[in-house]
Amino acid sequence: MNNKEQTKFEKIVSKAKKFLSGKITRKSFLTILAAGVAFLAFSSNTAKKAFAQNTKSIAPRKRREVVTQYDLTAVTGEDPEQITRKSVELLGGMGKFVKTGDVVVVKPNMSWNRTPEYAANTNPAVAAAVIKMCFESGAKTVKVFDNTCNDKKLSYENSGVMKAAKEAGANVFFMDDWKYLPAKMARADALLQGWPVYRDAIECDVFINVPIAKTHGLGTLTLSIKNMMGVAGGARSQMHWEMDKKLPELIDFVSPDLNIIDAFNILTAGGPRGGNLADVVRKNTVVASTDPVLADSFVAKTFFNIEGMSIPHIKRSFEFGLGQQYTPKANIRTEKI
Amino acid sequence: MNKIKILRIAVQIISFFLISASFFLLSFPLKFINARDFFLSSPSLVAFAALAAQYVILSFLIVLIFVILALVLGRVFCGWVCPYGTVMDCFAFIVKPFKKWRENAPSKMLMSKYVLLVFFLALAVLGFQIVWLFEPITVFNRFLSLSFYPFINASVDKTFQYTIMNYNFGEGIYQFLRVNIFDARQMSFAYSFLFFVFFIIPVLLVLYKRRFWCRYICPLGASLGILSVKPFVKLNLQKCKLHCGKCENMCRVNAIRRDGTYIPSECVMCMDCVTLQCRQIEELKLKSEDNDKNKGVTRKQFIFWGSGVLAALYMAGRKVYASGNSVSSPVIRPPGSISERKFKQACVRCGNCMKVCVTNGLQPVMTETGLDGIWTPQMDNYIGYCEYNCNACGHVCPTQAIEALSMEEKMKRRIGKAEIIKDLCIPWRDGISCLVCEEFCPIPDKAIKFVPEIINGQQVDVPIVDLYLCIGCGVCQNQCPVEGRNRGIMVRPL
Repeated sequence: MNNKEQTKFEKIVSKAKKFLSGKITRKSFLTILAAGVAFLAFSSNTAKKAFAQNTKSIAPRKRREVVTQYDLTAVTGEDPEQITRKSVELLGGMGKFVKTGDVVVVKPNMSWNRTPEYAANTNPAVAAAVIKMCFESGAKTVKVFDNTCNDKKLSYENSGVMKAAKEAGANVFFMDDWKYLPAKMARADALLQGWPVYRDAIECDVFINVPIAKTHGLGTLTLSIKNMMGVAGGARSQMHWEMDKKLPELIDFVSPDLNIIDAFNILTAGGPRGGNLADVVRKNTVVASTDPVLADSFVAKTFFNIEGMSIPHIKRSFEFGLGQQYTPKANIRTEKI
Repeated sequence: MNKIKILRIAVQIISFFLISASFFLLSFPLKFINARDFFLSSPSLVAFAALAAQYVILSFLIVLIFVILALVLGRVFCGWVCPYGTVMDCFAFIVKPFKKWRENAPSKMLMSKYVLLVFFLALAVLGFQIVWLFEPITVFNRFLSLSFYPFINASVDKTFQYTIMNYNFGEGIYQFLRVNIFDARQMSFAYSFLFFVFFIIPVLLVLYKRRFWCRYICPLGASLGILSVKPFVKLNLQKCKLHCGKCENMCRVNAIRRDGTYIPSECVMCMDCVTLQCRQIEELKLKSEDNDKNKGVTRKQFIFWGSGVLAALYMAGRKVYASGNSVSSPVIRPPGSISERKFKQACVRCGNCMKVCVTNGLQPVMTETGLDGIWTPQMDNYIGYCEYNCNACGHVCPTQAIEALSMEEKMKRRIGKAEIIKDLCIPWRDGISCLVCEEFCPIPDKAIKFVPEIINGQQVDVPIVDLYLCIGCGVCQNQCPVEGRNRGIMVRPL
């Protein structure tokens, strides 16, 4: 045994014992007091900071002005990746939206614990194609997230989007409760004034909205406007009260640069969760537009045979001035591959 | 230090981290080693649960590994592998400079664990299983899963929340931890401080005697001790006339007699005495010559065991345990749970099902199901719900108290029934349209239907429950926008 070390160790031990059992002098008392006060002040300060409610609020996102050749493109074909690429190319290419070094958010719908064939979540191939195009146009990072309805991990994994997006090189992560900040809406009397919205969705250069076309019990259809629910936090089931007034405010707040609606497989009944393969209809189409109202009303009319203006939240968005409604005269390009 | 002691410490550390990881990283989908398979299959646990619930538990086969280990090497599990023992040894090492333990010849109190074991056995035969309260691996796992894990998760969360929101630092590390180590959501469990208390008391008892728990109480130690009365490999401890008392005093389980011989069924093979480098104690020896006085059952042992059996018979006669033949439970049990009475006996309260539940809906019961149902799992739909595409809880249950259902069976297994509270439901009460429960209903044909009804003079779609389809998963209650514990739709136990 090493004797020197042992004696050193024993010295330390005896000192500690002395300190614990020794008399308290004025000096030692004052030292302990000062140390205690300093410790408490420091710990309470840090604790306050750590546990404080975030009072910072976020301002609406501003999107870049982009002029495209067509207001809307719809491409039909057998390969989801190919038709997604073609639809964006017809708008002028991803390079129009994504510049070199941009931080891009791709927001698919992956909020249900269902496998891709049930058409409750965005087709993984479509989402992956969008991510690949972003990287090809020089994006620095692509973030992919969604505030899920079912369990986060299971929804991400079973929807297949997580795997496809990771393979395409995107940064897929779970949304944390504390990263939502209260929204500062442009209009003071907005219903969603102060509603928590995810920070990363607003603090980005480009926001690409990639919903799936499906029915919804309350909103009739869930398309690009309804897909914005996935960046909002808080008590989301309470958001369903007067949803048709809240959704236009939300999409105005986030103002996505590009809406790419996946209508490869659409869910015609039992939405948004689905579960019956008989309700899934194959349409082989991807619709791309910068205008969410036009995109939604086009998809509603073409694939569900519902007038866009008969759906309350789309009608209100139109009245808000968020876009044009679909008429056969609109500047639309359809193509078949 | 002796090489074999270094080896023992290395094995202890490695197995501690492996076992902890197998409990800690248990999450659905099951990717890592399934924690139920080996470490929760200790003989006393599985045997007693099987006896109490009166059915065969498949992991009986894994128990054989424990048995063979004990027959060949003695209680090597206790000294080398048991994670709880490692914690105690660590604590003893920390307090060593301030504490001097004094030991004498093996105490008669060492028999107390055998008496306790017989008592538990008798209770188990009568259908009342309480061994989970003392089983070391269960206590360890329960603490780790239900108390330590939520605590460490919250601490990491808060730290990174501070650094990310203030300095924009650590986002990458945080995302890595969140995706790979922790589940996607912060877990919390009712009364989780209690699990910590039950965990820490045996550790603090080290201040009185090292390995106090292992000596006097541990049922796993006792069952391994019975098996290792004459192990194949023994320490070569000869009779010694020196009586210096060194080996006797340093033994952490009080297994060395005054004359230098030792009790194999108490020895945990920690190899402390070998490091003394005493002439008498030198090496491991295969099949030493029988120099034990102790042959067969002594009178003392007979009296102790006999008293245990007598106590059991007395209990049987008085029918102390009688919980009735209830099949239904006052709480919602996980899908695939066996009938209520058997469930309470088979469940060893390891906490695996609650740890693995993806929505955090499985919570420990306190006294809702009676005193014998304490800490069994229940589905609390206020906190979470039973995820439709998930059958994890049955696949991690070590005693099959929850059946391992296939995904198709699970999707049809009924655990409760939903009921609309018309005084609280928004469409029924106020006539405002709200479809959240229908939206969330996972049944393909929707167990919640909407029918037009006139409420407050205006027509509105109101929800009704199709009990033929409802499986009681509780997602409707969980997501109902009505605030508070009482929701507009509630799931009742069957």
